[in-house]
Formats: sequence, C-alpha cells, structure tokens
Amino acid sequence: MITGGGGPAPDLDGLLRAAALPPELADAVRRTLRSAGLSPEERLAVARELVAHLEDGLADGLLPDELLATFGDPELAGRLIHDARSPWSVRATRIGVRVGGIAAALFVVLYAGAAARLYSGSPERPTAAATLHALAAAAEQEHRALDWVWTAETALASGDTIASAEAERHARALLDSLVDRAEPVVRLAAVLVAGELMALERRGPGGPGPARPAGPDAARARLPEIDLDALGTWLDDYLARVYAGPDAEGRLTAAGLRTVRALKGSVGSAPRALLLEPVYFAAPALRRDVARRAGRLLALAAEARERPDDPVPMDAFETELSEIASGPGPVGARYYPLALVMSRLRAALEAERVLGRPGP
Amino acid sequence: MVPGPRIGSEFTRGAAPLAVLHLLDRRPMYGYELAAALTRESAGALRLGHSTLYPILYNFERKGLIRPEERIAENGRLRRYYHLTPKGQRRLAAQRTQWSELARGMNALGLAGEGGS
Repeated sequence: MITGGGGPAPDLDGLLRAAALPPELADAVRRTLRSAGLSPEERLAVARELVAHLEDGLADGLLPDELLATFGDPELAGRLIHDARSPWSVRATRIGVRVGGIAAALFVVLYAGAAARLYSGSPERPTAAATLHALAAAAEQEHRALDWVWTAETALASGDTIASAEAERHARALLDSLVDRAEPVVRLAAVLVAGELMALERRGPGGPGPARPAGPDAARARLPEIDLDALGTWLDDYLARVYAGPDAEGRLTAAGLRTVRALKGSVGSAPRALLLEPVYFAAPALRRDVARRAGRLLALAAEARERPDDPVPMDAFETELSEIASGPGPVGARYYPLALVMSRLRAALEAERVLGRPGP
Repeated sequence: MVPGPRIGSEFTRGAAPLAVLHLLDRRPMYGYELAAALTRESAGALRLGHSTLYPILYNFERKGLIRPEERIAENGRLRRYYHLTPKGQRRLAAQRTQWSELARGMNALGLAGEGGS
C-alpha cells in the first residue's frame, strides 16, 4: 500500500503551498482527499501523487482549465480512491454500522434493564421491551426480519420475560406482514422469523417452560406457500454472485473461500445456508476462529438432526457462547459474526423442525 | 493531450484496467506518464482522469497486481513508478484472452473491425 515518501512529511497545506498549484487545482486535490476519507498518512501520500501529476501537466504546457477538465469530479475521485483502497469496508462498514448500532443499543438497553432490576427489586422492566420494539420498528422490513432472529435471541438470553413476550408478539406481527410477499429475501426472512418464533413459543411468555403444543402447527400454518427448494436455489445464486463477483478476491482469501465452500457443502437446508454469511463478513483475522467454531456448531446441528425428538442442545450452545464471551478483545464487535452464526443456526434448527417434519 | 473520440464511461470502465496492465507490462510508469501514454496510444479514446486512473492503480496495488516504487526526479518531484508483478502478468494474460474472444465475437456480429458499422 501507499506509504509516504522519504524525508520529513509536510502536512497537506504545506504540500500544496510548496507545489504552488493554481487555486482551482489545489481545491480539486483538497476536495478529492476530503471525500476519500483516508488516514492522515495515506491522505498525504495520495496528495503527493495527485500534486505531482498536476505539476507534470503544467510543466507539459497544459492550462489549469485543461487539467481541471481531465481531473474529473473530485468527490467521485475521492470516493473511488477510498473504495479502491478498502473495498471490503464498503459493504462491511454499511452493515457493521447498522448491526453495530442495533447491538450497541440493545446492549445498553439490556444492561440498563438488568441494573434497574437489580436496584429496584422488580423482576421485570417494560422499558427494555418497548425499546426493543422501537428498534425493530425503525428498521426496514426485511432487515428487521433478518435481524429479528438475533434480537429475539437477545431478549430470551436476557431473561427479561416482558422483553420475551414482546419479542414473541412482535415476531407474530412481523411474520404476518411477510408471508404474502414474494421476494426471496423476504421469504427467507419469514422462515427465519418463524424459526425464532418457535423458540419463543417453546419457552413461553413467562420464561423457560414446557413447549406449547400449538406452536409448531401455528408456525407451519403461517408459511403455507414457501417453497424451500426454490429458496435454496435463490440462495445458491446469491452466494455464487457474492463469491464470484469482481471484488471477491479482495474480500475473501482463497483459504476463506475454500472454508466457506466446505461449510456450505455440509449445509442441508436453505435457512441453514445463511449461517455462512457471517463467515463472509467476518474480519480476516477472525475467519479461522469463526470457521472452527462454526464447524463445531454444525456438528452439534448434525447431532441434533440424528435425534429429532430430543430438544435442541441449548446447553452446548450456551457453552459456546460463554467461551466466546470470555475470549480476548472487545467481545461485541469482534465476535458479533459468530454470535450471529449461533443464533441463526439455532433458528435454522427450529425452522427445520417446524418445516421439515410432518405435523402430528 | 491528444484529441480524439472519447469512449463512454461504461466502456472505459471495462477497458481501462486492461489497458493499464498492458502498458505496465512494457515498462514501469508513473501516473502522469501512464495517463499520457494511454491517451496517446489509444488515439485519444482512453483519456483517464484522476477519478478513473488512480482508483485503478490503488486497486491493482491492493490486489498485488502492481508494485509501486518511489523515486525522486531531478526536478524534485515525486515519481511513483508502478511495476507489473507476476500476479499482474497472469491477470493480464487472462484478460487478454477474454478481450480477444469478445473482440472476435463483436467482429462476428459485424460490430468491430475497420470502419465497422
């Protein structure tokens, strides 16, 4: 990557002053760099190259207006330079900001709820449920549904019974609003929400407890038209586009790609295939860890499939989650993809139980 | 600069990266030199502004297709020469093949070639 040239590094203003560029050209360089959003060192290195380019043009007898005309739109140039230097971050940042914002808000809400319970002596805090509901309602419909799996998981894990009841109520409303839409991503979201709704129904609004007999049938009744085979085909196409795209080389290492393909090969259902997405989004340093842990979770899933009448091995999932939470580094940001893997896998298991087996 | 017909941005986006690799395969060049060579040798068809050329170069650099080498010219100006790497040579060879197949196909359709209409 770009590094600065030799000698003491001047700042950008100093560089432009020393170059004595016409004001309109200096302004174009400034606007480009402002739009590129690079680190100070990188900004200076890029500035050196752009300034040298313009100086060469002037030395060749080109007029400032001519150079300005060939410069192109500075803001566009800046954005493209930014993308060229960190293309993975374009999508990851967008998603990360959204996910991180929700995660941070949920963390604050749940932490505050726990603290309030502790100090008030009250076993329940309705503010947590209300805030969860508001967060979900503010998101776009399909994003809301895709994220809901994790949101509901958080509600359950918090032990906040009102939050769990609110999550269940919201999941029902969300599912009702999704089932009539034909877009594959919405149908996928519906399957995931149905799976999570099952988890909520099994625990019940009052906390952990016996499964509700009507739960599986109710969830099945809400999904009469979803063709899982078609959904699986759509997912295959989607993944093919992601991994075979022009920027795939920059986003995923060859080893990472092999890992993803190997994992995908062991995935048996459409909802389950979604768990590979976090592997794709995970930071490079985390891919191996994510893949290893995802492999363990897949083994748990396979074990669960062999014993369809047994409950989902939540204790093993909880153990995994504890290990993740006690791991090094900032847990929330670094291990979010893995937490997503877990929640989606669990949701997929539930969805498989609902959708993949005949009713009583 | 060499006057000439400018190609639409859609075509430029597809052709410029290959043209850059092709020119760097001959010898290392710095940005301005590369832009001038592209304009001159494409008869003005590929005039790349900063918003096209430098993102291409930085993208190639990040992917390991080219390698920069900084030199200070006699006039004290920074020269950042870009060398094609072995990986870049492989990419160039692959893209040349694809481009030839595309040109052959367009030619078969009667859309390419001298004075193609």
